[in-house]
Amino acid sequence: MGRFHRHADGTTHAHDDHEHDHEDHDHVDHEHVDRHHDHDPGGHKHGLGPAPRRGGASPEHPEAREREVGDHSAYETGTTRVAVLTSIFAENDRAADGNRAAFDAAGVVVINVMSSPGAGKTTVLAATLAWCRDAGIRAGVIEGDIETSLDAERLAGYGAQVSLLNTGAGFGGECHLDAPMVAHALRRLDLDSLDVVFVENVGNLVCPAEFDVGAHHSVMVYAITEGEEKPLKYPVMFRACELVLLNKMDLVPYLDADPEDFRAHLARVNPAATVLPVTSRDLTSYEPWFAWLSARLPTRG
Amino acid sequence: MHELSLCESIRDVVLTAAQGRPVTGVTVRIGRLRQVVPESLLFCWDAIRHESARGDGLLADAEMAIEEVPVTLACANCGKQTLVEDDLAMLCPGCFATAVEPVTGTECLVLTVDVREAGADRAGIADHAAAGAGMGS
Repeated sequence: MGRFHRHADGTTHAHDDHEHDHEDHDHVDHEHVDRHHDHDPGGHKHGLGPAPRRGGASPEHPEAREREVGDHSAYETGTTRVAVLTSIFAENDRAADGNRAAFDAAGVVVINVMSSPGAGKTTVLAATLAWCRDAGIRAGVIEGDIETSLDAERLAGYGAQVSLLNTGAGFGGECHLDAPMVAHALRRLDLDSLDVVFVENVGNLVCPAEFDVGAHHSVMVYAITEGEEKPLKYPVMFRACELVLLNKMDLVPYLDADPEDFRAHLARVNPAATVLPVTSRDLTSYEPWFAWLSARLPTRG
Repeated sequence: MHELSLCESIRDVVLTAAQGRPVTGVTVRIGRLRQVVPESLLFCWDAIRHESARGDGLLADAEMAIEEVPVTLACANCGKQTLVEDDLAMLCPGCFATAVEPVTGTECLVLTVDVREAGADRAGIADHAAAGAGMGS
């Protein structure tokens, strides 16, 4: 396990201070009462080998000792170490559970739609909303964008309820939607009159995967033009989805990217994911996606 | 990319744990599967500290230390555990089964918070209120 920290002078370095073998993965007894980041070899157990060193730490940690000398005043006036062990996502996950409870109470199925910018989320959603309208399925959209209402305007006119969330306005320009934001957007949707809600997340291959918004299913729109290797570079995102709509398949003849290579790379990080090739140039290509969706919607009447 | 959001969440966890006491140190444990860049997390945490310094100052001195945890996969087929050194493949190198799950590497925790206890000049903090009352005001 590497330890990485920054000092007041702006320098950063890492410690590799757990070279000993560990038998299991029990951190409860890891009290951190030490003041110079050395650990009692018997009191710190991981099921892990040493992590690669980051930065240029010397085994003696001279900077760390110097800093800790500076910290002693704090200890002398009484510093207490509080064991916390709280998930950084705890608050978001609580809000996500609240969202899910609201969706379940209204009998609405919620699909989180993620992609990088320009992969075609909004185009796929427009076709999907048109299909929902024609099939008598009542749809809503929570549209996340850092700025502008352009996508929300593109999705108007399909008879769906659209709730726009500009994450640049009041939410600090977030690169993803989180559960409290979605809870805020829900107030503008009449859940009881809906069958399905699509959460169009902010275009980004890293952050949306980390924040549970309370959706029942996560779907990714991935354009084959993005290359076939991205599942290996962004494994968290590709692990977070159960279905990948492989978009812009009409462009395959003009590309070096091979859809089969994409499937193989996806299988390395998420063997269970389903891949459905689609293209907006051929609306029949959406049929398997609509069938996938139908199978997950509540049956009415 | 999501490091600022994480730091805002860390701030909330830390302030709750500190119960009004000034914080001098925070330890977080982050698994490699979280795709957190440690330098970015520390940079964003500095922003949180500066913001605190302009307000109540409780986090102004709160240095962050990050424990990084590598990814370990456990195979449901053969039981083998594998430390992932480089590329993540959800595949057991022992039996080539795809029924593997990460057992480490998804951690995202605030482990400890160091707080400065109130001195004689800071009576009224919760932990000391009882002792202060006992001193016969």
